[in-house]
Amino acid sequence: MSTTDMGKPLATTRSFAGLRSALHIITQSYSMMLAALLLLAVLLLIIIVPLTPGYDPYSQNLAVSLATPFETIDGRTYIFGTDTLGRDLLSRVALAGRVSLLIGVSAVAISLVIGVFLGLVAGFFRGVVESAVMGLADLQLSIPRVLLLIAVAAIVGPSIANLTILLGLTSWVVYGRVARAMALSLREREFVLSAVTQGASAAWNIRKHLLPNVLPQMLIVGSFELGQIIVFEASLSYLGLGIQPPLPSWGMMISEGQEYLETDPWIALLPGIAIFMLVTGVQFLSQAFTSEGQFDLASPPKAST
Amino acid sequence: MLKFLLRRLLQSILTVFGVLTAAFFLVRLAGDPSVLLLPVEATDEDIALLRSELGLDQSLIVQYGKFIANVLQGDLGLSLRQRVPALDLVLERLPATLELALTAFVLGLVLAFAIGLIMRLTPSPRLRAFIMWLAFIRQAIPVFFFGLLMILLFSVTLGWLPSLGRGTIQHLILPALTLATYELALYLRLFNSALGEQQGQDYVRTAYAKGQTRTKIILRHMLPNALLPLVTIAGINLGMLLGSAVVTETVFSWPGVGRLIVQSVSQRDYPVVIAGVLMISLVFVLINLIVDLLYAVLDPRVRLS
Repeated sequence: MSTTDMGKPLATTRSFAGLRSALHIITQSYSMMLAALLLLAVLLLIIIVPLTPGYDPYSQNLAVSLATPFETIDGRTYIFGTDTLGRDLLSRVALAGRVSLLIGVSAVAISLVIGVFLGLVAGFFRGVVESAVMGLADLQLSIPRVLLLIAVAAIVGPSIANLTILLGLTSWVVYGRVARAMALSLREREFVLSAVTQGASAAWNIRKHLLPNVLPQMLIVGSFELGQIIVFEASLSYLGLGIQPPLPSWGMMISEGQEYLETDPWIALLPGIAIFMLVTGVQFLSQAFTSEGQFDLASPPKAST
Repeated sequence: MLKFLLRRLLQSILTVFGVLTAAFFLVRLAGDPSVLLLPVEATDEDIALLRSELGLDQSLIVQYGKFIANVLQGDLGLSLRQRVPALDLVLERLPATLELALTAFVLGLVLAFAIGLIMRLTPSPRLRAFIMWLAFIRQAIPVFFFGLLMILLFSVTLGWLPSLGRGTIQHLILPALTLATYELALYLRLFNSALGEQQGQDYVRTAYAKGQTRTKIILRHMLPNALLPLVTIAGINLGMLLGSAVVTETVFSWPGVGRLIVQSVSQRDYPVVIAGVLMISLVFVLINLIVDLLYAVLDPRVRLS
């Protein structure tokens, strides 16, 4: 951390430097380039397919059920094939990707806000507040996260909103811990002490001095978490506890496809490959930022469940 | 040592208590159980009768006290579907879950150990990078999709192993392998850096000076010292492994607690869900406690801090 004692965070210049060196890392390494390509490909699919004229994730047509990829029936080519109900898999994979990304990004935003708030407050005030926040974090870590998600999803009932809030509420711990650790050292810095002696309120200090200094790191953690959240959502949907039909989701499509694994494996494989591409892309790229030394998560990219 | 033991024990009891409290409020969130238990045509008197039978007409504090008292006596309520104690259903399934988790745990260590050694002993940096790359890719694939890929390869295509159920050793291989390979990248990295740390030690230099071969030094001298961190992290991850087992069990129709929980969720059998989650959390807390104590015995620095 190279924050000056002037009280003015160097966050912006630093994150530009971070971005440049991350780009440098990406272009230097074949696996990073590959990850970037995977991510780009799956994003393009998600963005472009719903704009094409053939896009139709819902309508069922038994006459074309279980079409193999690239099979042409009645003058229409099904690039990804169709499922048992004759629904176009390309459209469904793309829509499911949009839903996944929407839930993932929203849940990351929710957990980031909660975690940063609790972490900064805990680290700035210390004492009882800190014990309470860290105790809550420890408690939450004492239940495997999948299990917690299953239990709560079972009880509040699955819907996109519930799922997003639930994923957001259960993912704050990592931000909370990092933010607290950073706040602990920041609060001893001269620019904070000087503000305190001049009568600045705690809220002002947290907002003006602590927040801008932790935010770049938090966004990196967030990019890392995005992949994990997407996997959690897919796992829940695979178990039937996440996104509900008729809306498609990658996890649910894999679970449906598992029944046809012997005869029509692409039904499960295509959404699975899409998850893999998105998660690998996101996590390897966030690794490029972390390995640049700003923040070390001390663990390789992973898909949690 | 006694002080450390007591502190750690107290911490575990507090955690279990916290989990119980969370479980209680989750159940209350689920809504009035009497509505779930009674048929739709039940009269208001029927509902009132059942509510007083279940103690639902009492204050929340009293209900909470009774809940805790019941749990301490091993009473987690009746399964709404099968009318047998929920705990019995869970206990019946517990051996299967433990069998899977422990096998995967040992298998994961053995794999990390063997592959780690190969990586250390091989003269080819390319092979080393390739193995690491494979392990990273494995980690970016969600457990349920990796399990499906294993089924596709070993059951559907090659026909070597059964894809579902429990019974013989062959049934155990695919789910255990799915779980065991998940943390492989982390283990390999740890093992590698632990071995690397030993590399610079005086005793290693002495051994080289005495003219021993590299292989012998690695196997005889460095290996025993590098094992401790690997075993510790694996122990900590054993808890996480339990969480992933919940999903894996569903993929392979493995009759464990995880599958029971997922099935009970879809049948709205909340007492069984809660009993299952409590049981897994309890095992999780116990494992963490044992790992911590073991580590304190092995490394005196831990208990002094």
